Parts: sequence; structure tokens; C-alpha cells
Amino acid sequence: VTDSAAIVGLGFSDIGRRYGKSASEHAVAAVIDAVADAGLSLSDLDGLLVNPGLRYDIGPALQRSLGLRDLRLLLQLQAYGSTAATMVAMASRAVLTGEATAVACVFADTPLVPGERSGAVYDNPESRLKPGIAGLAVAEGIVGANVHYALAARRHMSHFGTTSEQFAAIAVSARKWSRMNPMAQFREPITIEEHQASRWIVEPLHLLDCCIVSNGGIAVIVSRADVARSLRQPAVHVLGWGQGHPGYTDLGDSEFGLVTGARSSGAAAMRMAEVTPADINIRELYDCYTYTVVITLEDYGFCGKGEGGPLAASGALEPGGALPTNTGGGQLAAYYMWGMTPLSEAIIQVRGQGGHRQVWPNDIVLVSGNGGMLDHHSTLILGTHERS
Amino acid sequence: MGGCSTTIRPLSWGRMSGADRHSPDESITVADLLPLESDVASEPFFAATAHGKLLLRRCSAHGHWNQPAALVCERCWDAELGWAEASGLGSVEACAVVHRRGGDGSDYSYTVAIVLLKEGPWLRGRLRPGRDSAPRRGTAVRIAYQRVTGGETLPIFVVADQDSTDS
Repeated sequence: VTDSAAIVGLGFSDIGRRYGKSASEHAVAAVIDAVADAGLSLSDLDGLLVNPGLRYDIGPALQRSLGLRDLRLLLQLQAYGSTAATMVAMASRAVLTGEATAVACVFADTPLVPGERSGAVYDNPESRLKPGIAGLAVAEGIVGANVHYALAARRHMSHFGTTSEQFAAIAVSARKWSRMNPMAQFREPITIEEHQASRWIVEPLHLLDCCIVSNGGIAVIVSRADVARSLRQPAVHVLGWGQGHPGYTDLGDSEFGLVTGARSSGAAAMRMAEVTPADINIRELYDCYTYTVVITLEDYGFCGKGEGGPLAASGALEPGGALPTNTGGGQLAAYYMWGMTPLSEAIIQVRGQGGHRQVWPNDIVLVSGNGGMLDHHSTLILGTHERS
Repeated sequence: MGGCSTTIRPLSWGRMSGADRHSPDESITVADLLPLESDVASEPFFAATAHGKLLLRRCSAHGHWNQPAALVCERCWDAELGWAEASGLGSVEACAVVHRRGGDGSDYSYTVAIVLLKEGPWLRGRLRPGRDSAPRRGTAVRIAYQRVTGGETLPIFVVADQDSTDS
């Protein structure tokens, strides 16, 4: 490897509780925005990686929606919330080997339907009830991510003494950051007490432990670092990547809820980037639930196993804290675009474009993706400078 | 308890009568279970639940117990799995209380759990709790069997010390 890969463009569609546009329209808008952000044109793209949401509304046909000709790399990828970082890793490999020179990576989904609950698409039993033993848990009411993550969180609590008040500290911190993010859907501050008083979704998870749901799309453009120098935006160098898929068993010694793929994924990414947890200036962690942040902090080695709750309660993750984390408010407060939420905020921070929420120094930023029921994990290490 | 078969063979429940000791007990019911259809692979499993028995998968290589949907042994990757009857006893590994709003606008809640079965595998499902809606890790449970109109009989968990119906 004689050169390094860089993220050169970042684009958003109109994200939030927005109705009337299809996922394809959001994806097209995001890619066009990302290309313009980079100072490129659509005709410069020779690669397209597509991550659909749960509705699988976008795929390889997005090429034609964008009018892209003669692509050399085109795939639909799916490992849920871990896909975004993995798309960047795949695009980085492609530009480094010469397989492609400018690759767009895009996620778009429209789970919100007018008049329906936010989580309806995620926990509708009729759409998830498969015949046979595969449908057993759903038939008995274990349907949707909220239930599975509640069970995982309960296991962490009973093993390590993690508390709901410690989860609350994550939610409070997210709002302290989102207050400074003009794109955030929820910017009002909250207190620990308000978290505790918020209604139960699935005990032990309160409403304020759960992410928001958004319609929209986000795209990034990956190219080579030497190409990035002549483009519009400060280069965001891709220094390391990794994946971790634990393959939890349904046996008594399963680590479900206790250890995630972040352990192996983070170790691989940090080894590749030649950094340690102490070198990371900013953490953008997948925060579908407050609990997910707690366990991810542990598995990346920012604290010991079982110490994620006390670490969060210490205030270290907040603005001004020792370990600034989820600096845009994350999925809990800003917007829910699967793995694109932490990735987009990381790009903003590495570029130094965070406005009032910008964190300095910003040399090394860690991004996590998490998919399924903690089944899939991916990590990126991004930085202001190429690896020397 | 039911015998823990150590021989690995397909079991046929079609010939059994409905008068087994663990036959579905109408006094143990939870609301809102959805009617679940069987498929070809799950026919033995649901034939057994209809008779108050829980079947798990066991590998032919070592007799490792696996969850009922396993296709490959999660211990040794043996792909030859047979059905074997489990004790139907276990303990709470983790539980959660689901809060929902019904079609009529009223709020309701129910408890679900990951249960560590005595044989070793986990099973996820509905828990009929006792006094505590979220019983602690380690709380003893047993399987009960609930008929669901329009679907197969489903195994649910009952907190053992609350269980006055067990013989």
C-alpha cells in the first residue's frame, strides 16, 4: 500500500420526520449532495455501495436512478447498523488497489409512516412472524430490537451491577452535545430524573434509553488521499478498519449482552491504524440504546469490562469531559441513519467543521457500527493526517 | 420430570395420547400469544408441545444439547442432530417487561425471558411471572404449554415457586 484512502465528500438528504419521499429519492439526494460537497460531479463516480434499511428499498438499481455509467464496483451490502463503516472499508480497499477511484457509499430508509408509531416497522409482529421454531419468540412477544436489547441490557446489569441511572448519564450527555448540533432532531436538555420518569418501553429500558427513528439518507465519497488534496474539503484519512461478528450461541456460556464484536473489531482497526485507545481524541459510537454505548466503551478498552456504567456516570463523555463521545448527539438525540450517524459526525469532527460542538484535538476519531441484536460490529479509525 | 433421552433418534409423538402428565394446562395462560404455524422442520417439536413435552436438538457426535432451531451443533459443528426430550426445567438468565398500547388505547405489559434450560441451551419466550414482574437471574422456572387458537401449542415459562398447578 503506497497511498492511503480518504473520505472526500459527505452528503445528506432532508433527514427527520419527513414524509413523501421514497428511500431512492433520499439516496439520490444524499449522493448528489456528497458529490457536490467533494467538488466532484456524478460522472466522476466509478463505484457505488448501497446499504438499504429494513425495508430494502434501495439496491443496485440506484445506479440507474443516479444515471451512473460504467461503474467498476457496485454492490448492495447488509449487516444492518454495522454496514456503513464496512462500506467505507470496502471502498478504501477498492481505491487502494485501483479497482475504483471514487466510490459513493449510501444509506437511505423511510421507516416512518404518517400516523404510525416510530418503531412500527421494527416491531410489527405480522411482518416478522415466520412459521416454525423461527417464529416462536415472536409469537410469544419477543419482537423488535427494543425487546432483545432490553434482555441484553438486563444481563449486563445483573452481571456487572450496571444501573439505569448510569444509562441515563448517556442520554443526558447526548442532549448536551445535540444542543450544539443544528441538524439534531432533539436539542432540549434532559436530566437524570427526567430519564428515570420517562415511560417504560421494555424494562429495563425507558423511552429516553432508546434512539429516535428518522427518514432520510446519508452518503459519503471515498477516494485516494492524493486525489483528496485537489478537492474541496479537508481530507478525512481512513487509517484503520475492522469487523467483529461474535456469532452468539444459544448456549449457557453465550456472551450475548456481556461482550460484543467491538472487542475484536476495535482491536483490528486500532492495530491497523497503529493507535491505542489512549490515542483516540473523539469517539462516535453506535448508540441505538444508551446501553450500547456502555458496552461498546468497555469492549474498545476505554475502561475495564463492567466499568462502562460508572465511566458514563462520571461525566467523561460530555462536552468538556476527558473522553468526548457522540459529539453530535448520536442516534439518541440527533438523527437515526444506522451506521451513517456516527460516521457523518466523525467526518464533521475530523474536518473541524463542528461549530460550537467542535472538539480539539481532533487528530484521531473512532467510529463504531453495530447491527442486528449486537450480532455485527464494525470500526473505523479516521484522522486528519495520513498514517506516517 | 420427563426422561432425558440419551439415544438420538427421531421421536414420533403422533401415537401419544393427550393424557400425559405435562399435557397443556388450561389454567396456565398468558394473553396475546400469536397463532404460530409449524413448518416441515418443526413438526416433531410442535407435535411434542401439544403433548406437554419439550424437545431440543442433540448432536449425534457427542450428545450436546442445542436449542430447537439449531441446524448445526453449536458446540462441535456436528450437522447430524436428532430430537430429544428435555426436562422442561430451567432458570431465568435475563428477563424484560414489554410495555405496549393495545388497539383500544389501553396500556398493558407482559414479561419475556431468556431461560437457561437444565440441559444447557437457552430458550427465549414468554414468562408468566409470580409476584415480581421481572424475576431475578437464577429464579427457577418450568415450561408450561399453552394452546393458541389457530396455531400450535407454545411452550411458555412459569416461575416454579409460584406454580400451584404442578403436580
